[in-house]
Amino acid sequence: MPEPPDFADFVRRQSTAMLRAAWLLTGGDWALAEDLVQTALGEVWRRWERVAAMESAEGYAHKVMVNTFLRWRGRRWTGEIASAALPEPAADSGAFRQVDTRESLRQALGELTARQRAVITLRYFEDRTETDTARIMGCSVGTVKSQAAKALTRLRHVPGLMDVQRAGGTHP
Amino acid sequence: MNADEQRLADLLKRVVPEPPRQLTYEEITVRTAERTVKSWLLPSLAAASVLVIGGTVGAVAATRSGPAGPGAPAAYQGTSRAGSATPAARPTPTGCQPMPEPTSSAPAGGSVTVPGIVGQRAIAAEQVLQTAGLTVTIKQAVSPAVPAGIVLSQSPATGTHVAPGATITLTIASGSAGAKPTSVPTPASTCLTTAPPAGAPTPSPTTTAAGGGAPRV
Repeated sequence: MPEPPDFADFVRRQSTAMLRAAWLLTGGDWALAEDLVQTALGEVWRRWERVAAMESAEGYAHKVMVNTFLRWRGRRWTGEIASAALPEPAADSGAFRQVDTRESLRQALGELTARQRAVITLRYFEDRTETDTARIMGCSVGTVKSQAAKALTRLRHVPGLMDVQRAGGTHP
Repeated sequence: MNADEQRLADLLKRVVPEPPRQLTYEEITVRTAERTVKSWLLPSLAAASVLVIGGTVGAVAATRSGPAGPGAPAAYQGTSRAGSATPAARPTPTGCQPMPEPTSSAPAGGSVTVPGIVGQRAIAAEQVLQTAGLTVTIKQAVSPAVPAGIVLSQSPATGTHVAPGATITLTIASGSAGAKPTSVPTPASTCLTTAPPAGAPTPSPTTTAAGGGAPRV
């Protein structure tokens, strides 16, 4: 029997990147992120012989993860989205507290829809093209553009993140 | 990307934290295998128990009716033979035991869809297949990446329609090269070497027994 490329090795190489992306997708929840990556990699593993032969096993794994996430939102994410949508603490804490960058990002993510988070993750965190992002999410390039624009608008309205972005200093 | 998009991209890469821990290959495979077993096992166990009850009723009815009498003892003989062949592995005969019933009762369905069992532990996979009324043959393959006893591949593939009682070949990981043939595959293969002899003579008597029982019930 031909030995398929090592799945254990694939997990070692991909799990950090996938976990970080999953952290973004899940709005900064490590437990959910781990659950998501485990589920996605489990799917990959069940089809490993076929996946290993693919041009980009890594791309396929990320695709499975994003699609699993978008399927899940109806079930597991409802509660989380509802609680994350509380508006007042975010607005006040941004003005009066020293807000940790990560914490304000997490709050900002909570105000996005699942699809917007998926676009943000694929397009800006993983630096995929609009075409690639659209293919992974199974939607049109136009949808990717509009979702990205909406997400950016929302993120601009989050005080903490806005300040942090300005203070980031990496822009020209 | 415009300036805002670029800022966001830079920010995300800086701010998204490193994961608190790495995932291991083992937790993914074991969890996936367990989930698969759970999703298959419950319905299939329910189906198996119905068949076993039906089979027992049929056998009892056949014994009482006289002419079919020899059928029932023959069925029990087959099972006890399997038991005596493996005195060391206690759970194995129990695992094999339900096999004759589903195998012989399955023809009623016409054809069986092969379930997906790649990634499961061999014993669980075997139970699923046997409950579905299929015969199992096991091959072993060395795969250092996969824990011993996990199903690497199956033939025919998931979703294929086969005749009831058809043979499904499983390739089981035997652990790294030269490793001890671990406890997991051993009972499985013992079960299988004993199962076909037990299964071969059994179907006809059990079928007659079940066939005799069905109209009566």
